[in-house]
Amino acid sequence: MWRKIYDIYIVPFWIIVTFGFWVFALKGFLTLQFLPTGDATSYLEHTKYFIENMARGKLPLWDPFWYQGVPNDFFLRRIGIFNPFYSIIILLESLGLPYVLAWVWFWMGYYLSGMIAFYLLSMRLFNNRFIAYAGYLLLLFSASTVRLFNSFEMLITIPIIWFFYFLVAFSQTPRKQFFLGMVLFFIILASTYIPFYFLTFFVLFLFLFSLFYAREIPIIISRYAGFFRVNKVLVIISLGVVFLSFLPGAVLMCHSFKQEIVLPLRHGDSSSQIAFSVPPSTLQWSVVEELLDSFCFWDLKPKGSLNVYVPFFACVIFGLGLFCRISRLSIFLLVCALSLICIFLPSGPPIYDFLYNHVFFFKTFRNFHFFIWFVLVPIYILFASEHWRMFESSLLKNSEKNKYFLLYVLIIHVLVFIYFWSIGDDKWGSYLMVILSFVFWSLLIQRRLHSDTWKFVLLTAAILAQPMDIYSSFFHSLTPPYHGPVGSYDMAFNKLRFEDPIFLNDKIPSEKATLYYTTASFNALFQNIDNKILNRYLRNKFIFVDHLQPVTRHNIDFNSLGKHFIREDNLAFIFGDASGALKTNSIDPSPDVKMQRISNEGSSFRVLSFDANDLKLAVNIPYEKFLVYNDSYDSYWRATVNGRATPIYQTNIAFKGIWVPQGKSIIEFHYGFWWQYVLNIFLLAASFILFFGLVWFCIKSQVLEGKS
Amino acid sequence: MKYIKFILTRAIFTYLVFFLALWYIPWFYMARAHSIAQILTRLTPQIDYFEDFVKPHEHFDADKLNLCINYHKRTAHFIPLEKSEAYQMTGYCYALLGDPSNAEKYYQMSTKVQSGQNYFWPCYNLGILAFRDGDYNKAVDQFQKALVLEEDVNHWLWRHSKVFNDVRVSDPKISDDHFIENFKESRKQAYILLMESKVRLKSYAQLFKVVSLGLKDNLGEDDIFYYYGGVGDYYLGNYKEALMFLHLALRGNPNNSDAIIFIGKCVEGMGRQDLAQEFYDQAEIIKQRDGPFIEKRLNPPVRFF
Repeated sequence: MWRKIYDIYIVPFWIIVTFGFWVFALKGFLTLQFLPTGDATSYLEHTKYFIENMARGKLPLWDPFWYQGVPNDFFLRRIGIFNPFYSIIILLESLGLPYVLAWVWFWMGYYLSGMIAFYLLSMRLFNNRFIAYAGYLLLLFSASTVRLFNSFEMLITIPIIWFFYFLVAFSQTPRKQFFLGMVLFFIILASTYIPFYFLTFFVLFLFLFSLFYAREIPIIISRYAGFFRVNKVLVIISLGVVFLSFLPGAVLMCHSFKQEIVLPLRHGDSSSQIAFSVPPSTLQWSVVEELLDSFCFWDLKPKGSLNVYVPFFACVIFGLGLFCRISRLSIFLLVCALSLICIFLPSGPPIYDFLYNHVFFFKTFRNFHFFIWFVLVPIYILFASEHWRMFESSLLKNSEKNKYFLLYVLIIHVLVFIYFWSIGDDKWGSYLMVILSFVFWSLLIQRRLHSDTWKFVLLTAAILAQPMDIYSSFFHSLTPPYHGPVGSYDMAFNKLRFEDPIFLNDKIPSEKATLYYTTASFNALFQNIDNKILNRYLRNKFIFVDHLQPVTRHNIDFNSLGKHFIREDNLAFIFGDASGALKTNSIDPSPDVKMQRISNEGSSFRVLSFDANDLKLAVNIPYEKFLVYNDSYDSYWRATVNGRATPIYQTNIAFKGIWVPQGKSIIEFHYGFWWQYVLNIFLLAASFILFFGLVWFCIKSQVLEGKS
Repeated sequence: MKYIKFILTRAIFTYLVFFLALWYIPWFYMARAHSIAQILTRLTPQIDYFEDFVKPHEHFDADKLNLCINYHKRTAHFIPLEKSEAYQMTGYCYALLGDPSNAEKYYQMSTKVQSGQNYFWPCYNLGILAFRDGDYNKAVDQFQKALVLEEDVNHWLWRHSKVFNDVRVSDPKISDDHFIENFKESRKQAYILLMESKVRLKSYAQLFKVVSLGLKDNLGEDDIFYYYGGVGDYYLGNYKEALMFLHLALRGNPNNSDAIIFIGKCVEGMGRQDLAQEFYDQAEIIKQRDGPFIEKRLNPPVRFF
C-alpha cells in the first residue's frame, strides 16, 4: 500500500524531501542564528505592527512611532495587507512562537508555496514532471532564498508566480478555482505601493504574447467568453474587486499629491509632485549593472554577498538545448526578458527616457535590478527548462543516434568542468554537480533509468550538489548581524509613551540625515532645527500653552522656533491661514511663563484609550488652554471635544494642537475617513473570500476528478 | 538548402543573432560601459592607507592590496581609456606588496599605452625600481624620459582620469596643490637618482649636463645639484672646481655631511692630508647626528601622484 501511495505522491514526496534540504541549508535563519537584515527588517517591523493591530481589531492607518507619526498607508501598501496568508503569522504567534520566529517560518512556508506554484506552472507549460521538478529545485535554491531574508522582493515574486500559474491554467482550462486564484493574486499585486513593477511586466507580457501566439488568442478568448457566459456574476464581482484593489494605492498617491508626506531619500531633488517619484540622479542599479556586478566583479565584493545565483545545472540544461530546433516558447521567453531589460536601461536605448517623461509611473521606479528576482530568474529557469524539453524531443526523434547525443552531453560537461577550473572555482559541489549531471544525462539517453525514484534521486543530487556547498560557505562567511536580544523587535506598539527620550532618540538620528519617509512638515522641522533642541522639545507628547503665535506658512522663522523650544515659552506657533476664527490667547488670568509639559497621568490629565488611529483623553483644567499633541499633523486627523468637532491646528510646524475648554473634557483624536476603513476592510475580506473560494473549488474539483 | 534551414532553425543561431545585436548596437555598448563605470566606482577599494607614502611595506595590508590589484586589472580590462592609469595603480600596488617584477611589468604596460606615454609617474617609478635593482642604465633611461614630461599635461591627465578621480574623491585631503607639490618633489627626486646613477656609471661629463638642467629647472634645493657638480669634478680630478661646487652646496645646506667628505677628499687630493682629516671628522659628527645625507634620499618610495 505504501508503495502505491509513494507512486501516486512521488512528486510531493520529493518536494518535501528537498524542502527539508533547503531548511537544513538555511537553518541559520530558521533558528534565528542570523536575523533578517536590510529591507527585510523594516518589513518585519511593519508587518508586526499591522498584524498585531489587526489581531486587536484595528486597521492601523497611522503609525505614531515612526518619526513622530506618519500615515501608515504607505507601509500597509508596502507589505501588501490584502495577502490573506499573513494570518498564518497570527496563528503561529497564538501557538506560542515569538513574533520573529513566526515571521521567518511564515516566509519559509510562503516561499515554498511560490516554488510549488512554479512547479505547477512548469507542469502546465512542459507537461513533464521531471522538467517541472528541476525548475522547482532550481528556483528554490536560487539566490531568491537569500533575498528572502535581506529584502522584500519575494513579497512580489511569489504572488507573480502564483498569478501566472493561475493565468496559464485558466487560459488552458477555464475553471473557477483558477479564475479566483488569478483575481486573488492580482489584488495582492495591484495593491502594493508600487504595483507598477508587476503591471509593466504584465502589459509587456500581454503585448508579446499577442505577437507570438496570435493564432491562439481567438481560442483563448473563446474559452474566456465561455467561462463568462456561465459565471457572469462571479466575473463581474471579481472584476469590481480588482478595480477597487487599485484604489488604496490611488489614495496613497493622492495623499502624496497634497505634499503632506515625503520620501526625501527616494525623492531627492525630483521636480515631480508625486512623493514616490525619483529623479534620474537617484536611480539605482539597472539589471545589466547587477548582472555584470555579480558575474564579472564577484571577486571584488566582500564575502557573503550572493545576489544573483541559480544552480549551475540550469546552464547545463541550457547548453544541452543549444543545438536543438528553436521553439516559440524559448524565443518568447528570451524576448520577454530582453525587452524588460531594454525598457529599464537608463543609459541604453531611449525607451526608458521616453517612458520616464511621458508615463507618470515610470518616475516611481528606482531599483530596476529588482526585476531580476521578480521575473527574470523565473524566466531564466523556464527558458532552461524549455531547453530540456527541446533536447528531449530531439532525443525522441533521433532515438537511433544515441551515441551522438551521449558525445554531445560529454562535451557540454567537459566544457562546464573546464569553465569551473578556469575561473578557479574552489567549491567541490560544482565539480560534483558536473559528474552527477553527466551520470544523470548519460543514463537518461541510454534509457537505463527505468525507475522514477532513481531519476528523482540523481536529478536531485545533481541540482543540489552545488547550491548546498555554496550556501554552506555563504552562511559561514556571515557573522550574526545582531547580538542583541531578538525581543528588541518585539516592541509593544500599543502603549502611549508620555516621556521616553531613549525611544525618541532612537528614532530621530543624532545627526542631520535624509529621512526615508515622514510628513513634509516634520521633515522641514527636522532639517531646520538642531537635533538636540528638537529631541529635548519632543520629550513630552503633550504640552499645554496659553498663547498662540500665527506664522506664515511659506516664511517660517526656524531660528525663533528653535529659541522658543529652548526657552520653553508658554507659546505655540500655528499657521495664520488655519481655518476658522483664530483665537490666540487663553483666558487664564495668570498664565505660566513656561509651557506646561505633561509628564505623567494625573487627576487633571488621563489617557482613556490609545491605539494606532485613536486617542481619547480625559482632561480637567481650571482655565481654557491650548493642548499641543506632539504627534505629526495630517489633514486626515479629526478631533472632538465632549463629542463636538473641533478644529485641529498645525502646531509648532509639524504637530497637532486644539483648544481645550475649562473644566472636565473628553478629547478624542481619530485618524482617517470612514471610507478608508471600509475600502481596506472590504478588500481584506474579499481576499479572504477569494482564498477560501479558491480552496473550496480546488477541493471540489479534486473530489470530482477522484470520482470520475 | 536543407542544411541552411537546419542551421537557421538551431537555437544557438537565434541566440547568436540576439547576442551580436546586443553587443554591437551602440546603445547597448554605451549602457554596458556606463554600468561598468558605475560598478567600478562603487567597488573602488578603500585606499586611505596609500596616503602615507613613506611608511615601510609591512605597513600595507596584503589582502587590501590584492583586492586593489584585482580591481585595477579589471578596470584596465573593461575601460580601455583608463588602461594606462589602471596599470599604473596595479604596478603601484605590486611595488607596495614587495613584488618588483610584477610592478615593473605593469609600469611597462602602462607606458606602452598611448595615453600613458605622457605620464610622469610610470617612468619615475620604473626608474626607482631599476635603481633599487642596480640597473643604472635603465634607471637613467627612465628618469630621463620622466623629466621631459610636463607638469601641466600630467595634472590635466590626473584630473580627467576616472581611476585617479576615484582616489581623489575617496580622500578629501588630496588636492590640486598636493599634486603640484608632489610632482615638483618627485622631479627633484628623479634628478637626484639620475645624478647618482650617472656617478655610479662614471658618466661624469653627462652628470654636468644633468646638474645644469636641474639648476635651470629651478626646483629649489640647488645645493644638491652643486653637490653632484662637486662630485663630478672631484672624480674628473678638477679639485678646485669641485671645491667651489661643494662649498656652494654647503652654503645651501651646512648639514650635507657627504659634501664635507668630498671636500676632505679634494683637499686630500691636493696633498693636505691633515686638513682632510678634520673634514672627515666633522662629517662623521654630522653623520652620526643626522644620518647619511645623500644615502637617505636614494631610496624613495614609488608614487602614483
